Amino acid sequence: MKALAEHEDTIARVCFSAAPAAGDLEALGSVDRWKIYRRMVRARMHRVCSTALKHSKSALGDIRFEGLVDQWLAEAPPTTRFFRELPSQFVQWVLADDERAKEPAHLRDLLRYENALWKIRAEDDRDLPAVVDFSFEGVPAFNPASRFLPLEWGVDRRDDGVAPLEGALLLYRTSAFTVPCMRLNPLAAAIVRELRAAERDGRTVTDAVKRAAEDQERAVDQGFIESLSGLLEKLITRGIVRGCLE
Amino acid sequence: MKTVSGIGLGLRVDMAKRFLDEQPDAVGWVEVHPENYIGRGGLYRSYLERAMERYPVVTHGLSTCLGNTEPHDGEYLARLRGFLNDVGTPWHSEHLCFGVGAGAALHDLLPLPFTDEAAATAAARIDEVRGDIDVDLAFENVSYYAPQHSEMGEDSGLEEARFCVEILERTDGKMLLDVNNVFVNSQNFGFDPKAFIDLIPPERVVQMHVAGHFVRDDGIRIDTHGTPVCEEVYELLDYTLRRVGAVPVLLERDNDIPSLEELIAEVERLNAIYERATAAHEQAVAS
Repeated sequence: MKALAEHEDTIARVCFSAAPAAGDLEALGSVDRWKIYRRMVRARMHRVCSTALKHSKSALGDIRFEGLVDQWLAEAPPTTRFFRELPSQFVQWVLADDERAKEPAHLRDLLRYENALWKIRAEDDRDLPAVVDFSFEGVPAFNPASRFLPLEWGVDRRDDGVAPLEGALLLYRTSAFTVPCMRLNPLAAAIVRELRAAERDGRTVTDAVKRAAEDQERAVDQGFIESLSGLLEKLITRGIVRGCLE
Repeated sequence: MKTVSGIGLGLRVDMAKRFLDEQPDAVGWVEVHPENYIGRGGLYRSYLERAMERYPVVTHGLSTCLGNTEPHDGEYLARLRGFLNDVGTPWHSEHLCFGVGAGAALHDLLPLPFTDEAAATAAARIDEVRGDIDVDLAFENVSYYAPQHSEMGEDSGLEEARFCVEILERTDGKMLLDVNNVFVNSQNFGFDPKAFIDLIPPERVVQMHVAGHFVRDDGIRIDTHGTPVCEEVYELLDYTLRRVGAVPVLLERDNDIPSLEELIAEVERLNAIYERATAAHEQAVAS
């Protein structure tokens, strides 16, 4: 009998290595029975990744997707105690190396999109900083159950093939716990990006709007103000922007 | 604090909406896994809040495995304590097993060898957790499928029971007795499940679990929580309740969750066993 810590590590190697070493299986004492554990541990992890990332799996094909999960388990097995975080750890591992998901071209954006959907569903939106009504002189406050995704591909629409995206996607959780996706044109994307930066840096809405106009080389004219008003109304009525920080 | 008694049901997202809409009286309390709620908002949190309005809530952890050789994560234990206090659980339970290895999280319940080193390690982990939470901690016996090295006496299949007793004594601790796990292990390793129950000090048992399990073609039983409770486990529960007395019993159903009607039918059968067996226990104590 190996010392307990070595025994524990041997179990992990048997469960996660690409192919369990015969010596490890023999050290644990019952080769066939420990292979049951290996299958059980891995099956749950494959299953949660497949559930969270079903469109990415479809785009990759079952064999390549399952192969990537196997590779992840062998090279960087999960460290989180929260089962719901496994798909995100897997996605981070895939995206860390350009070679891991090269094709189809939109795959990396699709992984980011599905990972964001998965995380928004679980995002904790309690105990947030207090807010007051939205104003241009205030610092905007976003609902944490939302994500701004400046992607190259419109991976939210896949029925007729995925097309390049101009602008960005904005995902948010509703009071009914659904997660719709807003498509933002380049101007709206610039405004949302600058509003989120303003929240992070403690700057005002007015400052964010000026930066967005400069970025898009737009004058703050009637058309700009109408676009801005329409966007802000959507952000506020949909609960994406909670108001301004006190 | 609401009283936890009788038969409880595990709150699972697949059945929660209808369960919470109907709030069946047959269910006396619910059990939740803290890992499913800590740091989480959205639908899960809304279900928990609704459950807390109607039922006593008892917590049962999945990731603070009490056989891990490394000390537990203090930051997580602080979050766990906050959660346990928020839901008002009267006690908290974790599993007597490994859950990590080589820095990786296994997300399953891996068996401990029945050795002195494992008992000492588990006692240390139990003391750590008890020091960080404000309620009693109970450990749960797990199902296992591979024979375990033992230093707990002769090979009679009851080494696991002796291992549990050893840890209860070292820690002056409490136990969540999983009756289905005892039955599964007894079938996989050929011992009398009632002999296992007889070895456990009844005054240390604060809660029980029952569940269904899967029988493979080769006869090995796997604790899936994905089928109805089998007749032998109902019978073993009856035996255990007669010996231990009226401690709360939880029906675990985590996979292939059936209709609410089927779940409640199982709960009602468990209620009938509970009433009959605990009354017999009271009568035996009185005489």
